[in-house]
Amino acid sequence: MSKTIEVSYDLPGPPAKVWRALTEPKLLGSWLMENDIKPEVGHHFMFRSKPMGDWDGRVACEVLEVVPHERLVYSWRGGSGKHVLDTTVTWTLAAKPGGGTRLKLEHAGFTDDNAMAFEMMGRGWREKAGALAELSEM
Amino acid sequence: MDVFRALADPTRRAVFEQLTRGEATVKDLTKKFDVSQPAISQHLGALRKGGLVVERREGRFTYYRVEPTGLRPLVNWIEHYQAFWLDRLAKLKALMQELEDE
Repeated sequence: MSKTIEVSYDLPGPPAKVWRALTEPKLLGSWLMENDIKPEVGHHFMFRSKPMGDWDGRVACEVLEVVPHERLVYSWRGGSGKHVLDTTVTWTLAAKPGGGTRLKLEHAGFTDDNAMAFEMMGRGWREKAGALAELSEM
Repeated sequence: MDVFRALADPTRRAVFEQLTRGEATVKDLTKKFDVSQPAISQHLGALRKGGLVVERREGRFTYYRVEPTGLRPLVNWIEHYQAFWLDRLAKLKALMQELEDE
């Protein structure tokens, strides 16, 4: 069974401007992660950040769908050898009446394995594990 | 054996949890849990193979303790990304406000 994270967020500015923040490497890098994105279907790119746990801090992506100012989909793959993440990120942009943009994020394809640490451990144990593994911050 | 399989068994998990509180011998653990000595040894063996526990010999005794780095694979991606996206979207909002003010 797979799980999806969904977040809707209201932003100032029209969809065209939000689109720039999603597709221009420099702007995208300023709020997400260093990257070499291009809004072209089939383009492979990489997000880079600090390593965390046994994850090397890299996310490998491929652009899957591009509808300028409306919809952007890319694969989001990373994780470590034993604990792989093979997911998809979908951004949907809609102009709000009266100005601004509603941005919707769907991060889909998490497996039960991806949540295992959470389901397996009681609360106290999880805190201990967190402290030992220093996973609290990215 | 990977970390997840090593911790899938409830007794093994309890043994591991006990070891997070301090070093122990097979005998100590057998007293704590209602399990035979060979069973405890077997659990410790599995935990050791999973990289979660290390052993130290002293005289006739072998002491087991937790290997902290063994837990590193336990990144909960869903939990991580829920917090991650909320944090990043707040940053995006700040960026959009800056762009609007330009």
